[in-house]
Amino acid sequence: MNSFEYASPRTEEEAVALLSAHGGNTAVLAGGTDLFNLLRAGCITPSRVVDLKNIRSLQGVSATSRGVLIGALTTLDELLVHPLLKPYDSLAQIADGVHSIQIQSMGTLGGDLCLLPNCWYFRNGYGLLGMERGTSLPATGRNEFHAVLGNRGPAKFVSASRFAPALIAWGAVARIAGPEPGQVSELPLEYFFTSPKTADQGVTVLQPGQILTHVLIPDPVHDEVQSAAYEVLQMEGLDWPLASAAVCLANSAGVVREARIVLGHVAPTPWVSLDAAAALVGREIDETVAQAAGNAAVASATPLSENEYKVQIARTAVKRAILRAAGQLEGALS
Amino acid sequence: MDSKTGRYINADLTHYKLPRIGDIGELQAIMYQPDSEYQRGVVGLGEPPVIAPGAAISNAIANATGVRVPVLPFTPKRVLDALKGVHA
Amino acid sequence: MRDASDSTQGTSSRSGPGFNRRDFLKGSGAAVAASAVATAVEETVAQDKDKLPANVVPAKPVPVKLEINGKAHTVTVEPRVTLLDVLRNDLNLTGAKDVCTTTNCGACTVIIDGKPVLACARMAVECQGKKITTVEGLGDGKDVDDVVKCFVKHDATQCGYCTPGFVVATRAFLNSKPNATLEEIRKGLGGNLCRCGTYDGVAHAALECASKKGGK
Repeated sequence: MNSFEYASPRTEEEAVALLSAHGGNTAVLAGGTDLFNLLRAGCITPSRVVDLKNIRSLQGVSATSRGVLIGALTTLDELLVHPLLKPYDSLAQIADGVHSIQIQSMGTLGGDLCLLPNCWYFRNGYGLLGMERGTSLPATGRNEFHAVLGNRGPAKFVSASRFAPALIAWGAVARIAGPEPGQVSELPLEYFFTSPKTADQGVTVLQPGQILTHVLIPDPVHDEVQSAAYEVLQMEGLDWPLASAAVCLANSAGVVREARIVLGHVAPTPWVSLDAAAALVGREIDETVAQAAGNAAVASATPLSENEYKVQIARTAVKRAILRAAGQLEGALS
Repeated sequence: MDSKTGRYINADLTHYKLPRIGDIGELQAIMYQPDSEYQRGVVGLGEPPVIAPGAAISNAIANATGVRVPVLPFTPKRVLDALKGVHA
Repeated sequence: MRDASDSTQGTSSRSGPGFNRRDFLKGSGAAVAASAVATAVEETVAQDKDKLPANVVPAKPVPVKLEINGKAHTVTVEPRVTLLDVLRNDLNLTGAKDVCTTTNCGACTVIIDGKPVLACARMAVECQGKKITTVEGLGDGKDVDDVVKCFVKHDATQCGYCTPGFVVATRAFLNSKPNATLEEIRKGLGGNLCRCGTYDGVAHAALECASKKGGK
């Protein structure tokens, strides 16, 4: 780990100013559950680490006229029990799926959304794209945990965020502060994530000096919305999903009017599947319909040499998330 | 290990996956001590009981799916590959 | 790492009585520390030119005040030094273990302001003004926490390396869920690793504690 300064701002403006220093060679500290791994591995070598934990405006969940506003520093255990988040089943299911009280009490929503990939080439110092002497190591090497969708570009890793699929399915909006002090912008969370094309690009739109401050979940326009997430984990304990899916279904009279289906851990970004959603609209949910949506979600998959099995896992994740949202996932699987 | 670079790429406890408390079911030790064995004198007990469960679970998978997964541990990849007829 | 100097050790004056590996390691550690201080001083000179804002701690050893198990401590460390390293290296509180250093094994779990936290993922400077409890704080020399008693009763330890982390995690878990079920225990303690296979004992120790409404 290199030497660095430690900054503990009290406001968003201070944080933005502190992060813009040192030519932007700074790092954001939230829960710290992954930052220290990156520092120790030498994946990042910031001159200054800016700790956001003391910024009160980034904490907690509040109701606004536009919807529920979740501070980026809200921890996973807070997400699990907050009364305002009770209607959002999929979020609680994901927080509950992180089987570690340490990570639940330390990890933050903003930290999850800004996670760098767990690609083992990246973590071993080959960069986000895993390049060595002009060739992509994950393309030809060990890629059993890599992307099966959206992997035709140079990026082969999978997006590490667990909450992004569920939030995107709810139509969440990211609120970003910086890089100028006082500057604030918003964009749909779906467009917050990027698939890097070159070695100097990142996994989100955030530029040096910018921070993700809040996530806004707009109040649904439909009355009856069901949501669920389903993560396929290799292990029962603390582990990253092999694939996950989150769905939001707006129903009327037992028929799906509108659907949003987002897959996680299958592509360099959270993967919105319009085809899977289209397979549900106008139908009543049952196992056959859910299966068809699962098939549609992975129809365009392009697995790498070792990860064809992930296609089946992603398909099943979509199917089970839909059935879970509709309350049809059998007890044994829930 | 990555075959091109020769580097271990899972040399940490994030990528080298170990079972955790939720992966281990209820354990119950049953002492099998019949007179016929006692007559032979001291009988050791150590790790040999660990051998049988792997085979038993392998048989259970074969019974449930109709295919053999010949390599431990039975990861999702190995089981799904075996179902597709791909050699792990 | 054998080299020429190693092979002469048996007869040279270096290996007189009292010379041992541990002293040698300690000595070389001091040399490294000294060079680190020298670097830090150089950097301080450079940094003084453009003054740091008040809320920035410079990248050099600074005094850090910590409240651990009810006692106040002051150590002088760089911001990058983790709470775990301070506990083990500076304060001789070696209960929290340094195992995976990738926030995966839970062996370094401590309780900070009532919440279970991995000490390998917190800098010491972050923890100022907070109440830190380590596994050493779960006993007062006369009596120990019920969790420890239950771990002993259920033989929930083998090599013992994961045990302090498991004990602290179990204490924190039962504080938040005093009546936990076996299923909840298996979920909540999923962040701790044991390679000996003491999980069954740990689960039953935690369950017995839960049957006493979390114990004390």
